[in-house]
Amino acid sequence: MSKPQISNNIRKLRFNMNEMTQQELADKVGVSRQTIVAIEKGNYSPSLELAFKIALVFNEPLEEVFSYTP
Amino acid sequence: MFYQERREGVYLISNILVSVVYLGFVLQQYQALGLTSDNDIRFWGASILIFIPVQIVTRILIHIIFSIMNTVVTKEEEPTIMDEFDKRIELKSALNFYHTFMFGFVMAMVAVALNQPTSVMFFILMITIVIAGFVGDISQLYYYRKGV
Repeated sequence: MSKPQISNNIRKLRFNMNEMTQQELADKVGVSRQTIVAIEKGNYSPSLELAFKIALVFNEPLEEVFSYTP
Repeated sequence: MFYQERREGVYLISNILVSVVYLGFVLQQYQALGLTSDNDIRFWGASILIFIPVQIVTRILIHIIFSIMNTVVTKEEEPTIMDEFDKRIELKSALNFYHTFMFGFVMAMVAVALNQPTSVMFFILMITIVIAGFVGDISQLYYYRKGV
């Protein structure tokens, strides 16, 4: 599998938001905890819709949550 | 290990068990009946047709049993949503299933083209269904663990 080009700060943002759990974030954006774990680990690149939902939960712009390395 | 990984592991093991038992039963019947080429085709056709509902029914039963056992042991509720990650894994696994099945189907046609008995063609088709099922289950387990 190729090295993921999309990285994210979800772990850090969860920590900064009163240590929000993965399950809480999953419930807020309507996915399973396993999906959040896969995104955090860089094993799955979410759809644009899900990426925006996650960014909205943290009240941050998309580029603060996800970054792309060409 | 997450619910989905446990579920796929259980599906894979049950699929292997059911397939091996059913294939063994079919081969035993085939040898015991001493079929001619006429009812040979009927036998294999019926065997493949019966195999499909057998797999569906066992999958439903295994799912029910697994859900109950999982809830009792882990106190964890079964996920009610199928999100985009699940759908993508399902699609990629189905693709692997179809590729494997198409390869087996071509092999079965090669056997016919090489003047092999029809029983060889049907046997290859049956093995292909079984192996494609394994590939589908293994793919799901792999993608849940390693990502897509």
